[in-house]
Amino acid sequence: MNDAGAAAAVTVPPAPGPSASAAVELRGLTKLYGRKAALDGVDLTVASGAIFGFLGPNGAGKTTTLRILAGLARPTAGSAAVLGRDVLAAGNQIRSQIGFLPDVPGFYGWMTAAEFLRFAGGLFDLDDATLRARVAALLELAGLAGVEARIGAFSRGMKQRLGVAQALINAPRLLLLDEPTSALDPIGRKDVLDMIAALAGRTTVFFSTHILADVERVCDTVAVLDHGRVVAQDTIDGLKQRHGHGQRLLVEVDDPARLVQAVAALPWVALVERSGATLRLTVSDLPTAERALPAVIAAAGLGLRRLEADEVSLEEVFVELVGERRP
Amino acid sequence: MSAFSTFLGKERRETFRTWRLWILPGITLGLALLSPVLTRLTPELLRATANSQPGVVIHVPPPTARDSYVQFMGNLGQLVIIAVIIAGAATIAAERRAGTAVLVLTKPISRAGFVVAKAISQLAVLVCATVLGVAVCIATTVALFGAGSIAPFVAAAALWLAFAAMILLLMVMLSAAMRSQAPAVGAGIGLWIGLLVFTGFPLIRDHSPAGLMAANDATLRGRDVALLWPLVTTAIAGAVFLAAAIWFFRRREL
Repeated sequence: MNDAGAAAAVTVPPAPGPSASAAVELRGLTKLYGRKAALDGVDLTVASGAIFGFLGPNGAGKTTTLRILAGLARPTAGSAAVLGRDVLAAGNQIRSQIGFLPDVPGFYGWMTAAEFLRFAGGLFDLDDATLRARVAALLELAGLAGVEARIGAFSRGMKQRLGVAQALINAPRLLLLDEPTSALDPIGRKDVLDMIAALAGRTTVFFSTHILADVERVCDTVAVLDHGRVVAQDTIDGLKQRHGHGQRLLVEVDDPARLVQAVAALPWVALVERSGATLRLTVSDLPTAERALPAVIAAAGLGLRRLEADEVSLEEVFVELVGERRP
Repeated sequence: MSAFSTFLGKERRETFRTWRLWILPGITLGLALLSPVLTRLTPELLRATANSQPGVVIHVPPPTARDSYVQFMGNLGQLVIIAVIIAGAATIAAERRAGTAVLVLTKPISRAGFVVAKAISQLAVLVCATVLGVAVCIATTVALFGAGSIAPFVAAAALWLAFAAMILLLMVMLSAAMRSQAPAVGAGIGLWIGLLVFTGFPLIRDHSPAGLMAANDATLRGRDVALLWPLVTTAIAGAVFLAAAIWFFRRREL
């Protein structure tokens, strides 16, 4: 996790216009397809330098948001600003500073990876020396150096890694990645996440996914989108603190069965789960539980071996935020 | 190198490294070779048919170089125009369907530049295919029939090229306006048939691109044909189709 980026990327209050320090700023962003709202008044700010995870279930509106940011779709209402400029008005000035990877990147199957990167760099009008150096470096980064096969023969993982590489050919200030790890095998996922993690501190990464483990691994700030609305935006730790359903303690004693009986009737204990010698207590009031539990254990004549707070997972936060609303 | 010339370079390489090379140039060159040969063999084929049926006598005058050119022009006006329609319908729709348009258009190339580069590359293929086809047809015809009158054939082919270029730009527009290639092909064939119908109405024919479709035979015979209005309206229609293609594509979400 990038602590510096996390500190800088905490939610900011809505500003009247695009902020120069924000890499991405959405205000009341709405996108209608017929009567269906894919985006319903999205407000979102992503600070420069953040590795930002854009979380949401399938159909939440993540891809629509990214398509608007990349200039591929127009909002029905509201505004979208990238690097301080409105995406509708800025055109090529914005596109020259962003890199974009769609969820399923489409390549010219007759090209090799090197040819595609040279082509992509040519669209940015890079000079020959810069282009040669970047193509070599990005092929190395993507693990495609020396691969002479045409892209049409590539595996999904190779295409995805090439997709990330082509998005970096212009050394973008903002990298937009739509589900970059979906449908990849574990090794392909690791490779792509390593590439993203390597960008920390150098470029802002706006990364949509529904794979929570990926977000926990590389992102410093996140927003959760559900049914076209942002339901939470914070650092990962902040989200866990604010949205974890209940709080938990892990307890190990010499006779777990007796402790289960001892705590079952206590008012601040919501749930007791046992896994071998370890009890996981979900409590409604953590400070009270932390103070009272050692006394309860001592009163029961039990020996305390372990007592610690159990971290709420991002998955539990996600389920709390969006799980109950799904049809 | 600018984004536009980079994309145009990609189009050129794509022509030589994919199926695109075999559609228009392949069909045109094939017909340029086959048309004179079929014209040369037609009397023998008809006589063989007649000989297999007692009592049937078919008199066929000896084929000439002009017959060979008429045969080729007929094929250009039908088979190759259909190939132009199919290839033109894929111009933008295929890049959208494959997802390549998304990767390209999130880089600093405008949608107008994208459409114009696609149109230029397709037009270049059409011009090259036509020039090669005409050259091959002339060479084959001269080999089989001796030297005929080449100038009227070249003039007729040039008129056909102007008409085919307009049809190609029409297809670029339909490819930008419609969701996929198939409906664009359907609409293109429908409009082409509409122009064919117009050739039966002299007032419309003489003041529209349909006049170019009707002018081939007269041009091959060396007769003077009033071509100003058909040429002017064809040029205007082509420009309007290209502008409309840009307009449609700028509004299309990807």
